[in-house]
Amino acid sequence: MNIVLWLVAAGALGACEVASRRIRRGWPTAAQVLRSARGHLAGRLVLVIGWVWLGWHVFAR
Amino acid sequence: MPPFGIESSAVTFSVAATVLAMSAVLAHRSSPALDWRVREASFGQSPDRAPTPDRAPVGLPARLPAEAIRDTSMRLSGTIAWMLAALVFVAVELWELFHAPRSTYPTLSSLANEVLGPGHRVVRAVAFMCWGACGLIVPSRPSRRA
Repeated sequence: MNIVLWLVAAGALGACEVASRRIRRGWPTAAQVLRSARGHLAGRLVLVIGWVWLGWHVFAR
Repeated sequence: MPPFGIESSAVTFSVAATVLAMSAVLAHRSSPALDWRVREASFGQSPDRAPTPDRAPVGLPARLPAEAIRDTSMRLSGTIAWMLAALVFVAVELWELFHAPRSTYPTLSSLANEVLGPGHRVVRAVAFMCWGACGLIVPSRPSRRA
């Protein structure tokens, strides 16, 4: 299986989270990014579309 | 039901619509205008003396400008890094989606199907509940911190 690309994507997300825990000052954590995205209408719209897409992909089978 | 068929998609989208409606109702019920704590705290006070959690506390020393600039620049670079990581994730999904066969190019759903497929009822039910709970939080505006 061509799993390497998925490992790279997961590694990029994990590296951002580790950087936010290590650097601390200024660099946002995943929770802070999601929180700031929820503060705007466009951000909430993107998150809702992503949430529906995820549920459809995982559970509609 | 066949995968991504009309029936299974209709069920998923119906649940999603119900969860979004519940989230809207919950957000309306917990709005500050209906919160008795906010009403009692601001009762008898003029609007300019009402509690403002966002305002910086009086008496604390102001931060150095260089420190604040460094924080802002780190926040900006961190946000860009998060956006790039999310873009990589989307790019991988699209790359796998438009290539075949699926066993060699697995999408997120085909990977998830290994652990959340119809054969794994308990894990699937737990994941479905978690997904629904996320749907209650995601469309709502974040509450202010005290």
